[in-house]
Order: sequence, then C-alpha cells, then structure tokens
Amino acid sequence: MEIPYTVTPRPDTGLANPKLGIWLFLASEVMLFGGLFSGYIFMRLGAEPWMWPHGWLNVPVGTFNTFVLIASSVTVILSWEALKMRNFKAFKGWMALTWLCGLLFLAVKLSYEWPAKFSHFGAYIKKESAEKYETWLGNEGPDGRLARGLPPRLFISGHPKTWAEVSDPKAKEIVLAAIDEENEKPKSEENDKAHFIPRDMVHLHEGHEVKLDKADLIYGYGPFYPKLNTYLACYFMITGLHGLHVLGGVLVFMYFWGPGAKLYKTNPVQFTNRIEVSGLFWHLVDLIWIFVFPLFYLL
Amino acid sequence: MSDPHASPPAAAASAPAHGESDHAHGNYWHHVRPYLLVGVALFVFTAITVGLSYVDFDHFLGSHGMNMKIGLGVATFKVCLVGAYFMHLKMEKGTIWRPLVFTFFFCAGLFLLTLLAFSDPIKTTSHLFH
Repeated sequence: MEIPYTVTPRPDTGLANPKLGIWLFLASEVMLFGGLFSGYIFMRLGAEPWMWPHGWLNVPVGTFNTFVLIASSVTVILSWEALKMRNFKAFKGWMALTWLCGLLFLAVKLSYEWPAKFSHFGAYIKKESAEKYETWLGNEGPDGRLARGLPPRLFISGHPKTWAEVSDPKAKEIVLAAIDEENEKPKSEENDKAHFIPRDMVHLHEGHEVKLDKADLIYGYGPFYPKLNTYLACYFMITGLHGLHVLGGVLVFMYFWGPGAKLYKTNPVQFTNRIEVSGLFWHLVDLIWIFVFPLFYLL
Repeated sequence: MSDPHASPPAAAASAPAHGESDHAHGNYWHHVRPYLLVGVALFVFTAITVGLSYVDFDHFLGSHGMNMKIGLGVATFKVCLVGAYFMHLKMEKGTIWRPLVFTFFFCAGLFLLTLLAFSDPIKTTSHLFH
C-alpha cells in the first residue's frame, strides 16, 4: 500500500505529511528540553552560592565541539541543496562530513570530557568542619574569601592516593595526592574566577598530602558523578540526553548515506524530502546545544 | 513544500540528471551562499559568547545577573538564525507556525512556573544524608 502525501502536499494542510510530522515532533522536543532547562534554572537559582560551581568544564574543548556541531548543521543543509540540484556525488560528500562531525562531537564527549570527570575527586566539607581544612579553603582572615565578600569555599578536589579508600566504607579517611589550584592557593584572587585554559593539578609531596576525614564530608563525595552535586546531575542529564539525540541523528544520516541512498534512484524527490526532514531534526540538536554551551560551560 | 526552492514534482524528477551543467553549478552556490554566511555568523557569535563570558558585566553595569542575561541573549540570537535560515522558518507556512506558537507559549509557561516557585520559596530544607 502506498502511503499518501509523502511527496505531494495534502490539500488541507498544504504540506507533505513528513514535514508537518517532523515539526510536531520537534515541538514535543522543545517541550522536553524546555522542561529540563526550566528545572536547571530552578535549581540554579535555589542553590546556595558556594554549592554551585563555576569553571569546571573545559571551555576550549566545549567551544571546539560547538564549532563542530555548527559546521555539521551547515553541511547537512549543503547536502540537501545538492540533492535538490540532483548532484548525488556532492550530496554523498556533504552527508559524510555531517555524520563525521556528529561522531567527532560524540568522541570528544565520551573519550575526553566525561572520563575526565569520572577520574577527578571532589568533596564538600560540612560547614561545622570547615575550620579544620582552612589551609585549603581560604575563607578566613583579612585576605580570605569572606572578607572579600565572596561566598565560602567548602569544596576540595584533586586526585586521591588510592580510589579504594574512597569507596571502602571501612576506610575512615581519604588522602589526596594531588589537589586543584583553587585549594593549593585558596586566597589567591586569580582563583576567584574561572580560567579559559584549564590548569593542571598540583601534586603534593610525600607527607604533605591532604587528609580528609570522611565524617567531615557531605554525602556524595567521590568522582565527579551526578550525585556529587546538583550542577553535575543537571550536566550529565542534559548533555547525556543531547548526546543520545546526536547519536540518533548520526545513525539516521549514516543510513541515508549508505543503504538508504538507494531510494534516490527510484524516487529522488522522496529521498530529498527525507534528508530535509532529518536535517530539521539535526538543526534542533544544534539549536539545543547553542543553549547548553553557555549555560554549563560559561555562565 | 513551502520552500521557494522546493524540489520538482515526483514525476518530473523520476529520472535524476547525472552530471550537472555549469548553470546548475552556479545555482547551487547561489542557493547555499546564505547558509554559508549564517554558518560563519554562528562561528563568530560563538567566539563572542566565549569572550563576553570573561567580562564582569555585573561589575561594569552595576546590576546583578548581567553576564547571564547577555550570554543567553547572544544564544537566543544564534538560535533565531538557525531557526530562520537553516530550518526555513523565515518562509514557512502558517500550518507550521501555529503549533510552534503554542509550543513557545507553553514552554514560556514552564519557565514562568519556576519564577512563581521563587515567589513562595521553601525557607528550610532537610538533608537526610548530612
């Protein structure tokens, strides 16, 4: 049975069905991500200032990924235009570039950005225990954060000597063999702001390691997992869902570039419409990232 | 299709033309030029967004949350470019626009709910695991 109006417009809507269908789907996607962004704003506005981190993500890498996604939005539309001009060879080239950009975006995320979080340790110190760790928090004194009108720093991060101590419920303390610059020089004004180029951790000499008593830590300490704080929970939720959309788009594009391209020989107009519709989905993926990037990486 | 450069009817296009003429080639670059320009604009505005995030507008303008407002303002402009040119909303029919207006309305409602929650805040929270 032939499905009607896949190519010709329906008389009542004036549109071919796939076009109207994809726009209704995109509208539902806007509501999905709108709800998540709304929740993000709710939690960010409601969070205590010392609890909401700034500058944890690698800005050059995030900027690179943004460029990659924008470039893929351009190449997908060039592939569609090539099909409209009946230039199948150019279509293949632009489409290949599109899914390669999508794969590159995912590769950066999954091979660098996320693993970098999973191998980093962080812990919030309970307010009543903050004095014990003042050397690495830098809140007190005339040059401390409180005197400079800043929210207190109650976070210590770095690399533990052994990860076993972190997960072992019998271990009473965690020893950090390396700490981040913010904790090494906690009163330096340089550390009040986020840095464009991320800095290396400071390795501590034997006998000078930072010892954290687990009883002094707020629940959730450990690798930079979603449970460490609300920011990371939002970050992994939204970038994870966005990543799934990228993966979905890449798979569809690979299909149309490969076996699905056979349709061009029998019905080029329908094939062109398919590329247009999947391209609209891809632009939405780009559009969502345009908001995700500043919200999580910059602001 | 509502796009002015819409594909020819199925019957006319059933035999795809292999190998294009110079005229068609010229047409191609003529059609894609706006997309390339928008792509370049998006690159430039991404760089601007990154640069602006390192300027302390709260301090310069003496108002709270200015960096957030400016950053999201630039992002919104970029989103408008993508929607208008890449997604062809600039020349799309009312059949597409109408559901989108509803989507925008309800999406704005979601954000309004967040603001309403702050007009009646929960003063204390209990942390079971602390």
